[in-house]
Parts: sequence; structure tokens; C-alpha cells
Amino acid sequence: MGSTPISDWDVRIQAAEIGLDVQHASPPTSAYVGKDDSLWIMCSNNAASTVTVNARFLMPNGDIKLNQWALNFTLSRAAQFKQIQLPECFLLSVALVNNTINSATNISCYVAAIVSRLVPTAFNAAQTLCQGYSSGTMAISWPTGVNTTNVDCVGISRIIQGTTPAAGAEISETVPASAKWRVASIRFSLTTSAAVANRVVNVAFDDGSGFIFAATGVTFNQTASLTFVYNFAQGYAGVTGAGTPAAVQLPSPMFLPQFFRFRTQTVGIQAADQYTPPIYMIEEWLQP
Amino acid sequence: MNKFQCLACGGVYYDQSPEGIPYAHACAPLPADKKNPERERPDKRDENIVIATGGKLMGIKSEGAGVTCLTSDTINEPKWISAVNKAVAAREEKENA
Repeated sequence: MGSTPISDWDVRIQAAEIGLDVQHASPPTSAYVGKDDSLWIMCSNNAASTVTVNARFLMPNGDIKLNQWALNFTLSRAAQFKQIQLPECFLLSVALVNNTINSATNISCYVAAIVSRLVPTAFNAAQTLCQGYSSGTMAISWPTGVNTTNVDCVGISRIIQGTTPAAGAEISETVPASAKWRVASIRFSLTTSAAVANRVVNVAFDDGSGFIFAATGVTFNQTASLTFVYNFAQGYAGVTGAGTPAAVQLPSPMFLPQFFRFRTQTVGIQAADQYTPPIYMIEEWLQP
Repeated sequence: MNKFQCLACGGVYYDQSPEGIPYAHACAPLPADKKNPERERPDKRDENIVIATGGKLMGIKSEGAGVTCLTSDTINEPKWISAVNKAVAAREEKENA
């Protein structure tokens, strides 16, 4: 025995029991914008960015308005705020997208939409509508969408070429303001001068004021008139390879907040010894 | 992308990383010698941005001894620092108005 399929007729004969009062409906959102409130857009980035804001409002006379703003933000990983003054209304939806157009490929942009009467620093924000990392194809939106904190996600992977130190000087790289790094690998070379000495290369991590909390290094000497390549990376087993290339294990995980540094400390370094610029891979989060 | 030399530490660097993101140079500390422990340079340059309370952009941390551009005669600092300084000047002008 087969079941009897429901016919269109069966559906049509059901009488509606729920009525909608569309003339006196309440707005489907809780974002009321009073006469003294503003919509604030927060942006934290690792390169100058343009954030486009699309919003829909329910006005007091029942009209629904759509508006769009393009806001330019300077490079700053710390929070920057721009104010959008609105009339009294209910916000129906807000979407933010970082649509910066330039040649940079790894722009990281953390954005938020906030309703507040004052500049919405930590103590003033009345209502955070949405927040998260946005790229050219990923909008952050409210009331639907996914909110992300600035660190509860995979960071952006970056390759950086650091500073070439002067002859006889050490490598030193600093985590930028309002950034958090996980150092995955560091690669550089050292060319030693003819001065007779045993050089031993170490990499130290400090808090930016000189307090070293971790260090790692090779267990062999580099003598005069040689060029050795050094690789420091998470996942390497101990120290291998005297010379070209050396592979040294980095402490893992090595999370560094703003202004912390990694730098070489070379036992026996001579005035004419020369390091190449370090090339390093990091995972970066913004800390607005 | 331009190449600069720091006039404090002599370090040479590009103002962008290969991916196009601005790079902020900061001088390495002076190494320890027979007379002194390891210490920061008195004329240290640090291009990291300073943000005051309320999100106020204040400029770079320390100009130090300055920089010289090795790839252009018309540029005297990384372009992104010029943009930051312009934004700081605009904010200060607005506040003083």
C-alpha cells in the first residue's frame, strides 16, 4: 500500500489562523537610534583601507531608506573611529566591507559597527552590532552574519623582509603597535670577515625593553671568511647542519604582542661581519 | 616601494614588505661591550605608530636621526609615514579650530 500524496487542494483548504498587522508592525530589530546617537564605524588595519558601509533604516514616517558611505582609514592597527550621524530611526541592517583597491595582497582589516553617543572606546559603546575581519569579498553584517573577535580565528599569513643591519650589527625586528604575531620561521645569512674569531649565532626574543624570555641558537662555530645560511623554524628537530643551511628549532608556539622583538645575538661578532636582511613568516592578528 | 637607510643604526630597509604591507623599521639595541651592557641607542629610530587614548593617531614613536632614501631624490621618508603625519596634522588642525 502506498501513501496518498497531499494534493494542492489539501493545502488550500487550511484556513489561516495567524494574522499579520502590517500597518502597526514593530521593527524587527532592537537597534533604535535616538536623536543623540550615532552609528560609528571602527577600523583597525595593517595598510590604509577603504571601508564601504551599507545600511537600511526605518524612518519615523514608515519609509525605508538605503544609504551607502565609503570611509577612508589611515594605516593603524589600533582602533580608528568614524562617525555617521543618523536621524532618529530604527536600523534594519548594516553591512561593512573592506574594498581597498591597491597592490597590497595581504591587507588585514578588522571592522565593527557600533551605536553610541560618544566616541565608542571601551567604556562608551552602547551597542556593538557586528565585528570581524573583512576582505574585498567578505562583508561583516548585522543582524545576520558571523561576529568574530580579533583573535578567535586564523591570523593572516605574511612574509616580511626585515632590515639589513649595518656591518657588525645584529638583526632586530619589532612587532608593530597593536599587532600580535606568531613567528613561524626566520631565514638569514651571515658572511664573516677575515677577522679571526669563532662566531656563534643565537636568536633571542625580548619584550622590547631588553628582557629576554626565550633564546635558541646553533651549537657550532662560524669562523672567518665564510657565508652560512641559518633557518630557524617551528617544527625543526633541535639543531642540524653546521653551515649551509643550518636548521634550528624555534620555541613553539611563540606568540609576540606589540613591541616585542626577535633579534640575533652573535657571540664573537666582528666589525665587518655582515648579516643579510631576515626573511620571516608570521601569522598576524590585529589588536585594536 | 622605496629603499631607505636609517641614519641612526645604518640599517637598510624597504618601506613595504614583498606583499605590499607597510614596514616599520626600529633600530636594534647596541650590543654589550667591555664597558656597557646591551642598551638602546640614544638616537633610536622607531617607526611604529603611537595611538593615544581615544584612538588619537599621534605619529611614529621616534624619528631618531632620520632616514635617507636610497632610491629617490624627492622622497625623504616612507610614503606611509607621510600619510600618517598628514592625518595627524589634519586632526590637530580640526581640534584647534
